[in-house]
Amino acid sequence: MADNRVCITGRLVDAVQLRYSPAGVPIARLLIEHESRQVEAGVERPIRFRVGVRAAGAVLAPEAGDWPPGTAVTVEGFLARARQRDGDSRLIISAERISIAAGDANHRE
Amino acid sequence: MPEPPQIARVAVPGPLPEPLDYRITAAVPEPGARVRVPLGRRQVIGVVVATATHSELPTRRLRPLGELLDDTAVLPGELLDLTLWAAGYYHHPVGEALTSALPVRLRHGYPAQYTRETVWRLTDTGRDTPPDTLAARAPRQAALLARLQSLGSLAAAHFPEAEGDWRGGLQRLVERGLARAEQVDTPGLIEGHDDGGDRPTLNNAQRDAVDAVRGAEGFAPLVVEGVTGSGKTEVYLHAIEAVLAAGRQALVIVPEIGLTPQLVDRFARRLAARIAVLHSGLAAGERLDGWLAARDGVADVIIGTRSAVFTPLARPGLILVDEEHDASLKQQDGFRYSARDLAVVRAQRLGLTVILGSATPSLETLHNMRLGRYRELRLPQRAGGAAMPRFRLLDVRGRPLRDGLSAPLIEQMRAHLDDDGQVLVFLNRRGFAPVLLCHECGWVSECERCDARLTYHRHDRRLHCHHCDHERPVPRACPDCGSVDLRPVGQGTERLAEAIEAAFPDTAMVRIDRDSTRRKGAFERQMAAAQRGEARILLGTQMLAKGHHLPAVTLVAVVDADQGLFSADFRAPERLAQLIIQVAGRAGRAERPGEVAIQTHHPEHPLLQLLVHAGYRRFAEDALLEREAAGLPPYTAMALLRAEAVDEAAPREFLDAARAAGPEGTRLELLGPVPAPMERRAGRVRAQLLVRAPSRRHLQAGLKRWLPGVAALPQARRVRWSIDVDPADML
Repeated sequence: MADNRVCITGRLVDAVQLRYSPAGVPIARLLIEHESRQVEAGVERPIRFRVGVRAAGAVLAPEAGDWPPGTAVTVEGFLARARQRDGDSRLIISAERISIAAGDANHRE
Repeated sequence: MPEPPQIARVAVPGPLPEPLDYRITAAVPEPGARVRVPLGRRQVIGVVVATATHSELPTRRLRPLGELLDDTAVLPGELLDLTLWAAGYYHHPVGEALTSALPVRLRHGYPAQYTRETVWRLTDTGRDTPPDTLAARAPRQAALLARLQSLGSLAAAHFPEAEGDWRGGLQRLVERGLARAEQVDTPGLIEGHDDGGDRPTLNNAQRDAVDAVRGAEGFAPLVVEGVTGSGKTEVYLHAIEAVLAAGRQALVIVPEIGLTPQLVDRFARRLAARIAVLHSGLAAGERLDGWLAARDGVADVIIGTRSAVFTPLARPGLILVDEEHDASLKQQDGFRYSARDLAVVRAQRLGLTVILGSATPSLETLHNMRLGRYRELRLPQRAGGAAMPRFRLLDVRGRPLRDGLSAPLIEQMRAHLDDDGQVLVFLNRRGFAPVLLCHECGWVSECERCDARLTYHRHDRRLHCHHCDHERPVPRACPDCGSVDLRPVGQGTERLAEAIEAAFPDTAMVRIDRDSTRRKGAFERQMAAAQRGEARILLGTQMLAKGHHLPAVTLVAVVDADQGLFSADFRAPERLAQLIIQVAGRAGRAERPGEVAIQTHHPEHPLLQLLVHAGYRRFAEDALLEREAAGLPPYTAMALLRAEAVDEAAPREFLDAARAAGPEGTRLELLGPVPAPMERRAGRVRAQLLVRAPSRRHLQAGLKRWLPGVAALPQARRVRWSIDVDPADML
């Protein structure tokens, strides 16, 4: 019952806004757009959705703030409720690692 | 021949309402002298209140008086009587009241002596000995002898730290019989002198006020009601000069926040007088020196905070209370006296003039003026032709605020800065933010011991409770849900400073609040930078707002006027109005006209409307009508019986019992008990019972009959309780 792993690739909808909590922990909330083709019941179909990502702690490299919108990133982490308040069941990905996706045409070193 | 007294009545420290009787075994002490007496198993220091021939108790049951610490009264009769009167009026144990009136050194049994310093003088031989005769073998002694011969005397102050072993050198001179060392009293007074600087010409109103003060005879309570910048201090200085010319002393009482080095400096540059300064920041020895100097008539002018009202005066001539409306003139714990009210009582007992000064007189004082008890001296114009500031209410409803600053305010600040003006931004809340909130679950940082939120202080990365001493580091994650996304909510001066720096990155700013001035001398340095105009934006709490002369300020911005509009305390509107007028008074005090911008979510609020369009006096008249309609002071008299305990039920049980013990036949009206507005504070639960009577006389008579029974209640032993007569703060 303790399994909760997600690995997903998507493009940044907006630039990353990095801020710091009062205790000095870096925090960012970002939105990525995923686009792929997946097989469902033997039929290949397009999959497209947006999902929120929360990145807290040393998950994001400091240069993440310079990534332009549209940058393709790979997010690894687990699913969590967006807010801990009752009755709010929206999910987001709490990231443990965010990296530039391999072969991203928009991103040049 | 009358029978010699056998009994000494002694006020001892502790919660005893009356003095205790002791048997005189040897010398008869004078009332006002300190004695050591046995109390339980301890020996304590008490003050003799009176001597008597008989006690109500059989003599054999009385314990003997111990050592006499003073041959004569340390406390003059007048001051002893005043303190006893105050203990009665405020229903406070007489020993504790007397303790408050004595400097701490005297409380601890230290002799009533000035600080002494060694002074070296020449002997006759020393005067006739040429220094050259010593020069060959003892060059240091030769130099010291030469210095003594030219100066007449030497003391430690003549030698900077680095100047070698001068003390040893002088000692050798003493051994050679060339000099002698003497112990000299050094009361540490400031030697004021008229530096001949140009005196502002008095305008008509100022001259009338000065004439009225000079012409006053006997007990004369005068209220100098002068708009901010009207030159009240100039009137004070003229009044004090007249008192000094008559060979009398002046006692000047100011609120803590107003006793600044600038004020003392202004007095010292103007008055040819020896000035003693008394405040809580002094070392025990300095405080005693000032007190003794006033008692012995060595000091001519005594400037002090609240407790200075208990300074003995050898040649009393005038008592002056500046900013008489200020709440800090009322002691808020222990012996809860009002320094302003006691100043008036004292002046009455001494038959003196007493001046109460303010730009915003308290409603009590205005009421007394209307009844003709106090004489009104108005200074309706600003001195030197400065114009009154223009007010503008900034409606911030629905407007985006950037860390508390609205766009119109930022624009107005920019306009003043571009025009070479200075801007004062006022926010009466220190720290970064008053609340730390978890963005995910809504947890807020609360004090464990109080019903209060912890304030986030960014600089030290800590959370502080502003109501008790509790503090702790900022948590890394929410203690409830584990989220690290904690967010500061609301504005304190620390946050506002960042916002202003972001909006005006090239403008020098200084922030003045209790946190930024913690280091010794920091306040003086920052204030000097503000006054010299190096800092163009001044941001601060009331510390910055009150009483300071900041001639270059052209715009005063009140960031949040809403804080005081909806308080449970019936005095809150009065306090808010006074604060706004005081802050606004910083604007345009020199030749440039000033503006005052007030940000509010309630621009239609009658208090703000009246204050801005009709002025403080109109506001106060309306407020007095409301007080009269609601049966509140000054139309009635009030006291507050407070109780607190760790045990949650105990305060309520005590107050219920106190209420039930309410005596028949008095005019006391008991309202409550109710929980205190902040029910839990520093780990104690607090409740209060409001006592109201038609007049002070009825209140006093009623309390006198009621309180002894209250003190004797069994429930009283389970709580800490106090009675606050004429409470300044209902919370």
